[in-house]
Amino acid sequence: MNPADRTGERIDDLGDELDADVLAAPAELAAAPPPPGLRERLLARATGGGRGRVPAEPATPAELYEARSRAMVALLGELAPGDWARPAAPYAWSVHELLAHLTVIEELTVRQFALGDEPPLPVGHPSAADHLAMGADVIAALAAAPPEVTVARWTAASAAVAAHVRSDRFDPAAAVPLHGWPFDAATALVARSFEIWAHGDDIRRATGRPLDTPAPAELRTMSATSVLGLPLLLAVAGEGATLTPTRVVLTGAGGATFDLGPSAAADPGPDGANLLVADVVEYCRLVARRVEPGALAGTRTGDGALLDALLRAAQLIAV
Amino acid sequence: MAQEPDGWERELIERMLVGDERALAMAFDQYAPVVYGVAARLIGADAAADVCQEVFLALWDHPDRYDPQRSTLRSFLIMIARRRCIDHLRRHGRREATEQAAGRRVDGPTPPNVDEAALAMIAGQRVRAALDDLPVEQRRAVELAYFGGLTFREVAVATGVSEGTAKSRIRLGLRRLGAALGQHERLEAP
Repeated sequence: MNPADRTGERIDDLGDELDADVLAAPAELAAAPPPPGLRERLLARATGGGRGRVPAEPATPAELYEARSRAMVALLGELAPGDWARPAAPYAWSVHELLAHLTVIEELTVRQFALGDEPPLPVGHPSAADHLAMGADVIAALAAAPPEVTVARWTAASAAVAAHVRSDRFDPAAAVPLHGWPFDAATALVARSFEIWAHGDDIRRATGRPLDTPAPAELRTMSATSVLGLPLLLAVAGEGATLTPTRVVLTGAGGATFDLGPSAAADPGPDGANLLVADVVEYCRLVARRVEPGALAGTRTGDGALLDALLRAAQLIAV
Repeated sequence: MAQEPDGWERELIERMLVGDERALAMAFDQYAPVVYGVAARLIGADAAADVCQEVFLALWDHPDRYDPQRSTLRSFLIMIARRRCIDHLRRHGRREATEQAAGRRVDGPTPPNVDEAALAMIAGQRVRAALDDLPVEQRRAVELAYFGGLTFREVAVATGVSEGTAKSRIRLGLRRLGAALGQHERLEAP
């Protein structure tokens, strides 16, 4: 067949001018019983293969951090000389300055994991309170140097963290305060992974590249860490909202269903709880403050004010 | 314009959203014959089973992508099936697939859902009657494009007319089909 024939318009391309039901009408002529066993195979895959609401096996926080770091290294390796000066929204930084900021935070992470020469900063230390303002002098100095210098420094810091979390010395439960939050080490790694992913996508947007979708196992860890922390975050947010039974359904590979609130263990069922349904990737972007609560597509039923408060609370740990 | 979503479909989607796999089973029982049948016509019975499974897994993974204001669930699933089949044809070439499909009826066991089989038969009879009322050149063009998975250009070559004429025949044929069936009338059970 002529390859050009494969790219021509087809009947489905009339969808803009014809009702979808009319387009589908001739299909009635084709109805035929599906082969034996197909139904059972479908249900087995839907309910047992890590798809849909059946959670994917989560990545460990260490695996997640390493995967996100590898993705950033790969992205940085793709950048052309002209990419480094491009503005990288949402902050008033260039791509180079953004990486310099990330370097400041990664070097802080090294320190907070007690891997550096200086002792970790305590949870309330003022110098680490303002995430964006930290290390302005370092950012300026790095931005004035060739990008390769910044890449090397970020990569070294990230590699030091990655080597530590692979080692026997890594204790997921160890206290690792970061930006005012009393994280344990595992949660700190997830928080770092969120930031590396979000800034990677900032760079991708700035340089005209498609956004990155983490693997299902990574999304599972990121989203679960966030959703399961929502009751605490809601209380910290201090909006006065009281958590009532709420089901959070995150769709797509890596998604899962979570029941929050007083009767979570009793399975309130589809009609017995507030319901939030959203794509798992978009939810993670919301957590990273790259999607605003009002712009999150999906279904919300029940106590709308509570669901809005939960989504705002989900963004509290984003930096 | 599509009519108000059927309550049964809406409930089905809501139940899938909260992870009720029984809703997926119900959707399969109701719509698998038409989804599988379309795929079998386009790419042959063997590959059609895989496509059919992919279609329902896609619905399970993302039930929120179905917009009841735009189409019935049946039409939505058929659209997904056709797209997957076209992708298959592009990957594997048409000849192999059409040699298998080739307008043959796909034989199989007794359908597990008698209601669906009856509904499909009734709907099929109505569509067949409406298709038979089309001018022969429109009917032929629609069938080639729909069940053959041919592009407008390929339909033009097969029927010996210009690409514009082929496209026009298909468009007119579908519009007349829609008018004959009533665009606001469901092709499935209430």
